[in-house]
Amino acid sequence: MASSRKITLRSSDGESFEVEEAVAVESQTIKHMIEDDCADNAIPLPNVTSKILAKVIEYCKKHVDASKAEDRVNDEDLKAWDAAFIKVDQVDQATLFDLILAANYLNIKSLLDLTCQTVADMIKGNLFPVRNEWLNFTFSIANRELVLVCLTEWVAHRRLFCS
Amino acid sequence: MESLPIEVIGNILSRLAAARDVVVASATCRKWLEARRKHLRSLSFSVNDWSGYRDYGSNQAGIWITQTIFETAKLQSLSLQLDDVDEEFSASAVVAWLLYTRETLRSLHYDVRVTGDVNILEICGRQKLEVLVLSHSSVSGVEPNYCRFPGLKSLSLSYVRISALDLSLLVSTCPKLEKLDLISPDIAMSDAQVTVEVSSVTLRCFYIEATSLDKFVLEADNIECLHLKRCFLELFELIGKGTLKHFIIDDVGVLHLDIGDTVDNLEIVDVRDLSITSSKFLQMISKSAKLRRLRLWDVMFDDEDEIVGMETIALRFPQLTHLSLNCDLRDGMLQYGFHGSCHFENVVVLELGWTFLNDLFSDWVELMLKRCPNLKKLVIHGVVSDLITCKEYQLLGSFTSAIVCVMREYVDLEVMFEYK
Repeated sequence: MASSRKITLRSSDGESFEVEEAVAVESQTIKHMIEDDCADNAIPLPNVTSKILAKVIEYCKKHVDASKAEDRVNDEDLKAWDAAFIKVDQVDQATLFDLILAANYLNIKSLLDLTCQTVADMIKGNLFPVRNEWLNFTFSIANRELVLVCLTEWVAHRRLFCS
Repeated sequence: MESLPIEVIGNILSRLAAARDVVVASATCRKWLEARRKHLRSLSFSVNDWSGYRDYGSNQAGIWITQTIFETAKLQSLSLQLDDVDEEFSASAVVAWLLYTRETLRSLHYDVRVTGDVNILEICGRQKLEVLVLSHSSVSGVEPNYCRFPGLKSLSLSYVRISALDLSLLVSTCPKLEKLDLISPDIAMSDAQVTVEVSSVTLRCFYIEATSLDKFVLEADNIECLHLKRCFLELFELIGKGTLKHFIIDDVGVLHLDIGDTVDNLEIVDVRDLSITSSKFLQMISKSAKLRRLRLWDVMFDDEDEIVGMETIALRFPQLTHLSLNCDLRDGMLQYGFHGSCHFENVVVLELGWTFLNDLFSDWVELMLKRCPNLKKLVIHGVVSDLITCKEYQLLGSFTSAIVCVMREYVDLEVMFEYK
């Protein structure tokens, strides 16, 4: 199963990339295509441009190489590499979102996790201070149904759950 | 941003986790709002993230939390860090949050200041929970036949009041438990129960911190990591099959310590600040031929004349790569013996430290360096906060000069200093 077969991937703008099968199957989508025998010729990826595909391949190559060495130290080195790979001045916002879309389409969990975490960190760092009116608004909804649900549950389970 | 699939937005919001941030971020557009409603997997309500839980009062904040939780679907991870508030949350609200989420919840962090007691085990038992962290709560009346945690892998109890019997029963209701942490437990003992006994075949990691007990017996045939911190115990006994790999002790006073006769798999022994009556400690680990890392730091044996032989260490632990020792040279006597000429062939990192400095220390460093032919890194640990007199500063000066001379001999050695 672990052959060093080369797989050709074709981006949406017609560029072809030849990669080792071990690197290509980091993508579950491509892995299934290969298993279903659809990969004799080049695999077309109409949703991924050459610019993004190049970066995705770079990521997958690094992670495949890292998993070969079994030294624990590589975990921290790999995390540092990931951080440098996705750093905001290396990758502009548009590219970041394109990477998310590509990781999602190609089903590469670790890349999807990395890119989503980066966006989450960006949001966290940049949230505008919330004006109190907004929060007062949600409080004033005073959801009566909600209160009723709570009371009903409490009465029904009171003996069991509270002492 | 607009073209992101809704599940991906859910993934991003789940990583944001802090409830206020999630609600604010999802207010940007309808798609994000829908992502929060249908694809949010992780939510955290913590006083550390937002002062509103405290500022708005528990009544208002409780309503907001209820509303936010009830707007989610299939939540998998819920964190409630609401202990550091001025008013208690109402038990009915808290129960409602748990009832609403329990069918899909895999991870629960519960630390809530609440009116009365909420029986977490009752509410969350028999469901999919894999990780449970309970703080500032109490557990009682564990019924193993009725309440089980079929999927629980990690259990952590912090500042939890629980009887010895209930603790034992609770662990028995978790057939897949791998990790158990007990932090400052308040273990009530009835007259009949003098020993705390915990037994789990699947347990891999056990951590206990900040407790003082008579006797603790841990029966775990597959244990790999044992970590005791800031404990004072009469007896700690591990009954197992010799699977222990990591044994970590930090600021522990114990009269009797027993980890079993089979210690073949021990790889790391890290001891800091241990007071133990019997000198059997070294004997206990002496059969661990696979030992890779050894730290003996501030270890006080009852037998004051105990000399730790370097020869013994070198012979017993041939695969040692990291060695950390410190010494207290107050009496002008080194507690490490250097008979014979055995070398530490595989040691690549050596850490040596002093608690009270005198001239002997640099001699000792030289002696140790001669014994480690393949050393790559040397770390010197020193306590400098106690130095007051002129003489003591001179000692530090002469020590520094001596080390510089030593370093001239060992040019390839990486040397680091850590002073406290």
